[in-house]
Amino acid sequence: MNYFITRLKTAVFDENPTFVSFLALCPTLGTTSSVASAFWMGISVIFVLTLSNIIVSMIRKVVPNEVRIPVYITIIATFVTITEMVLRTYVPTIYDQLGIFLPLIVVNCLILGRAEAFASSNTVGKSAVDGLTMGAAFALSLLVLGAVRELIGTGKLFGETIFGGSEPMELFTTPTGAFIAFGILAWIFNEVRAKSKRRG
Amino acid sequence: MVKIVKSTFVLTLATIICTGLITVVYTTTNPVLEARTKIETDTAIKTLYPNAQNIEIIKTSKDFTKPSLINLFKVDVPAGDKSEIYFVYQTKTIGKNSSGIELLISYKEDGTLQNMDVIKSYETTGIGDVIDTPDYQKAFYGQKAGKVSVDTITGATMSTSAVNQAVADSSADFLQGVK
Repeated sequence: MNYFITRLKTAVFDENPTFVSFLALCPTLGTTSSVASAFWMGISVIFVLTLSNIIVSMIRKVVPNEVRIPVYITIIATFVTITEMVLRTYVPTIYDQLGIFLPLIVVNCLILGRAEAFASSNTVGKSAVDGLTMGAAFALSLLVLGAVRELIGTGKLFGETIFGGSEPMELFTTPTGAFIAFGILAWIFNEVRAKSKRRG
Repeated sequence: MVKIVKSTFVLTLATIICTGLITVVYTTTNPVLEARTKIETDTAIKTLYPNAQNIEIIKTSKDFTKPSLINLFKVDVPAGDKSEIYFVYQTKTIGKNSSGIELLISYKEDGTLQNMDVIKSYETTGIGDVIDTPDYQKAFYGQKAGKVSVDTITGATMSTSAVNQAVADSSADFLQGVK
């Protein structure tokens, strides 16, 4: 349990895939116009990342070095296809909202990166924890960005009106607004991180 | 040589196992998806014809040459002592938004375009969503298959062109024979 909490802290603050490593920015910007779509993208990535990490770790000793990337991509694509079929069947509105960004998880550099850098050289247990924590850090970043964009762009949160009286800044629901919101959040995140590091 | 054989074997085995896994999930989810789609389509057809009694699917996407055509339904609607038959096309074309516009287009037996309904569209509010208004749709009603002509609307060119395309495709298919 201690290992999990330590890894979670590291994943969220020191190795945050979104605000520190700037990985997987395409789905980050594309699916955060609302908290709901950010949430489901986060859940999908946690599912794919954890399961692909587990499988990659299990087969790491039998996969020849020359074909490891094609094998990893095949495994990741399988879990993405499964996620897509399940969301399409049981949560069709979210499936429509996520659109092309759902199948694009296959080429999400965070997932292939963790398979290659961590799962291929660590035990199944550690790889599972890595998948869960890195996925959770990514999902958390999406949720924060989604909440900021939905709140400023529509005055709502989870579809419920929060700022009824004031005019929302619709710019934040557009791709341009996504870049602006992401830039501001990344700056705040890294400032806070740097300050806490200086304090030790 | 051994290395090449081993690599090929591992990659092939991984592909086969993954395909099997996808097949298992597909066979589990597909019946649920098909049942839900059927309910959604039946509900949509019932909004066109509330008294519809028998909704029979007579063509599916594999029977059409046009990719925009998804299904063709034969709908029995009781009218007094007899019943009227309508042919309803379920179509999907790409407008402004890549998610597509899903439409129901209904023809009488004599080829008159009788009714239309937008099932699903993500067109821009206040611009492209004109396609989901009765005034716009009425312009199509009463026109004969093969001779349907409605101008696109300035400002909503992509959305209205997509509807025109769906109507043209369904109309061409109707003329080829639906029974």
